Amino acid sequence: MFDPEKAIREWRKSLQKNATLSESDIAELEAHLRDEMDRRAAAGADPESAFRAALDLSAGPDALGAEFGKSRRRRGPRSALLGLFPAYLRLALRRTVKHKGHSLINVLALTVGLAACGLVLLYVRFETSVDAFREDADRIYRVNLYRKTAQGEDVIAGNYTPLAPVLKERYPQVEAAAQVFSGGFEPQPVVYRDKAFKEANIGSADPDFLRVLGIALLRGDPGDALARKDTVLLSARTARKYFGPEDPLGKTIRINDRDCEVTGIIADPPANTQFQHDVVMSARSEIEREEFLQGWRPGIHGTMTLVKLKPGVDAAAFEDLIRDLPHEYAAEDLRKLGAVNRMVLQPLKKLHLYEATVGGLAPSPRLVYLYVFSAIALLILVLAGMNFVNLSTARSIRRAGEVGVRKAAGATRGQLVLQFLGEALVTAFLSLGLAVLLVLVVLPAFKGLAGVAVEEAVLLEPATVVALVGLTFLVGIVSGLFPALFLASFHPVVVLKGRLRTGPKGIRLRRALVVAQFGISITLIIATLIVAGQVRYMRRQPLGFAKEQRLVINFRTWGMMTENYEAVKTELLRHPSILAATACSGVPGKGINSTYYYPTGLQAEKGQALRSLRADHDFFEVFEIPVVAGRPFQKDIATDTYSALVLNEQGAKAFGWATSEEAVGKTMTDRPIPVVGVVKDFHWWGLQRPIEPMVVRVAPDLFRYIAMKVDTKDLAVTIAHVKSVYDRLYPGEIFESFFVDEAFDRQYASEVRMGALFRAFTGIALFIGCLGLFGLAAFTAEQRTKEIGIRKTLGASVPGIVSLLNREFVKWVLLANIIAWPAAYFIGRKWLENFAVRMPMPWGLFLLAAALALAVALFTVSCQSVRAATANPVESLRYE
Amino acid sequence: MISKALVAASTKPMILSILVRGEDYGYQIIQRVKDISGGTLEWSDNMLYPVLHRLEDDGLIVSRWRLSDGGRLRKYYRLTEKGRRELEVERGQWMDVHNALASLWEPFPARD
Repeated sequence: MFDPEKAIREWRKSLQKNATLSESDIAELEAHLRDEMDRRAAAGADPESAFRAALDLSAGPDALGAEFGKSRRRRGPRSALLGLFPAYLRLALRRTVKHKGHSLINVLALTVGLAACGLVLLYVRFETSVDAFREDADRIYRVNLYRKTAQGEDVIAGNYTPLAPVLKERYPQVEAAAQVFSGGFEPQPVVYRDKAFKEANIGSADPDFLRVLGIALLRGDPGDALARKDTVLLSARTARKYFGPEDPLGKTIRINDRDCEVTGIIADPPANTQFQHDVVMSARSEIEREEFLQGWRPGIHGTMTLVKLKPGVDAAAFEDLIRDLPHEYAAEDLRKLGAVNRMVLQPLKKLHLYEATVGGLAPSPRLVYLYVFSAIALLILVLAGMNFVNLSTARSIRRAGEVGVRKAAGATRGQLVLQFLGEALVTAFLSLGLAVLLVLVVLPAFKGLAGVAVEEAVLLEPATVVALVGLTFLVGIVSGLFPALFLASFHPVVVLKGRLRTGPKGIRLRRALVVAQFGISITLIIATLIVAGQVRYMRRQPLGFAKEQRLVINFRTWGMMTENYEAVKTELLRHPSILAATACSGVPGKGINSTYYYPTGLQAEKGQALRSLRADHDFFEVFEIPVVAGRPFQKDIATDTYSALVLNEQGAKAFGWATSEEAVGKTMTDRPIPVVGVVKDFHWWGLQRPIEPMVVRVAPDLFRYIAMKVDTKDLAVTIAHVKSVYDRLYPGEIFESFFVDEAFDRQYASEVRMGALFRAFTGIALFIGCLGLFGLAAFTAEQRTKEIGIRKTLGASVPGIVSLLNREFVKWVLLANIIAWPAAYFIGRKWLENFAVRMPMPWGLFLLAAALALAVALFTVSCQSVRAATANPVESLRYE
Repeated sequence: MISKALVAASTKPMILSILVRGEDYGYQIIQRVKDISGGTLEWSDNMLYPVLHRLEDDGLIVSRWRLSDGGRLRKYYRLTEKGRRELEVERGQWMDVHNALASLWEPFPARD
């Protein structure tokens, strides 16, 4: 079987034999060869003949070498320059190659450290570029809404629907203002002829959407785009998906039961934008159809308003100007509610990494992760730098002779410092080259791990290159400086007489560095274990409802079973594996909104928005949620449908009733609706969030899920039955189902991801720490060769000597624990504060981390100790 | 077939004239030459790259490595200000030769 990659490798090798061809020349020729092969392959040639033909066109190694050599000879001036290039650098290169073991450890550690920094740098560059790349990003803002009532205050991203048109009409400072509706939380069906698709990135907007964000309209009339109702814009990739090579303009597609005409094609959204729109419908249809979207109505804030100010407009002054608009347009409603509503601007550039809060913009978890991983990457680099200092000073005795000779021959201290710094820089830049390769190799895995779409090309951007080269330079200088000064300070007479021992200064420094390295590693290990432990703890916590074996059918929209949900359930329950079923507006982890409630007559004092679930009579039974007071909904009481409600314990508390029993029999709102029962609290969201007050009502018009308790035996058959029932009752609809536990656990994705990243970085830190220890142990063993020899001839056993050598390192690692524990405790406690339900501080983990670090250190050191201890003493003593 | 000597002589002005239109890499330059000459000029790799490197040493062009869309690392060349001036000089010389030959090959030879 012909392998083109192998063939190219062989060819490259033949070129490498030719001394006149540099690596750069060969890389250029290889790109050339591959381009020619691609052209031939595109014309239909198979890989082998493409390769042969491309090779035929090339002049071959010898001719190439001769031609390249001719041109090289002409490069006189440059070669001369190279000759003048500080001799230290050449010396440094030679040393790096000669002392392979020592160099290898340093290069390996620095490579890994720099690669970690490179990855994080890419990550940071990606996160900070989100929407910041847009033209005029500085002038674009989202108008948030600040709301304050007697019950509390908040800031939301949505705003009054008519805000954008008002801003445009009234304020000359505004260049464009757009209404953007999100498409809901779930993928929507889009149908073209006989093909049906599920689109997640779907939304609607008005014509200014393109103008504000500067989104390019690739095809279509800019004046017409999104202007008429029932029209739609598609991204280029989506249009290709629907229509293939056909002209998309003027085609009609069916979105959510509405026919829409395609009037334009927009550029595919890049990875680094929040506005991932593939399908943008005209917002006009929606606004005209839904009456509640037409005025300044209280509580209707589903529209995002984006505004682009004219150049030179002061945003703060403009914010003051529009601040009280709600009190102008919705004065009556706000007075009735006793509420204050204000407009707040949030810059586009701070949409991704900041969150709007009552006190202003606050860093979002994304920004915190950015800081955390930047810090860890730098720590890893510091570890690698420490290794360098450590090993270089440890080896100083070996080089003392060299220093003595050079000094005796007239070298100045400055020249020697330069030489050693040169060596450090060579090592650092060699590592940088390898680090870049390493980054390219692991980038795909990192993308998955960090959940970001970083692109390789960012590595070649000037800013990245400058940052990486600068960092490398810094590491080279900083970690090279101490050893350089240390070495250059040797007195020639002393070292040449052979009286030098590494002074107490060097030993103390090395100990301190090893302790610091292990301290950092242990801290990271504990942090990793805490993250993993908390995720495990959350998964195992009782949630207050039965999570496993609950299968859910996801209906496309509300209203599909308002009348017949009981009949649908009956059909489903015919199968023996379906044990119970309930229709509802949401299932734990998904689909719940808030509604405003108050005890009858107490609107101003006790009114508040609380989580509002609509579910039928069987919900509590299916999810096994116990009723603690009153009764559950009953089918034989007609008024239970629509005109009764059940609270959870938190809900009863929220309205000021001391016990659940007290709540039963009270009424809500002015209608009024009686509270018939209270259920035990259960977690709707992941354990990051506390249990919220909740209201449950039987309101079939808002049902859109059917949740079933199923027997897991023959699951495939059961699901097939469910699908067949659905397909029969809802022909033409797309069947979608999921399991509650899987969907629920997806809420921990961010923690799981954080855990995985932590694990990766901790592994790296530990690896670097071990490399340093390995090198140091080798050095110590070598230093004590003679001592070991004498001890052995005097009858010391191999285990005895190994433990003698190990003892010192064990001491250091134990010391590192004392430093690491308080740090890890502090960090762990801080992180756990993010969770409403957190595990108790796991002291066992601290011991585990200590044991782990000790085991790794012992293993590393023992590799060297055993070798030293088993060496024949005759060899080591004869060395004299 | 165009003679080897003529090909060699015309390489430099040809490359400069291609690069004056924008940044390009070796393989692409060869393709362009082939296209505009209708296939009569087919340069090989060992002829083009040394010339490119020489031009770069002379400061007429500069190069940089760039990752293409397909993920291939290519060396791109670009004309410098000095290269632009050099192209003008070359063009003057070639036009002189061209005009001289053209008038010699007039259908009615100019002869006293």
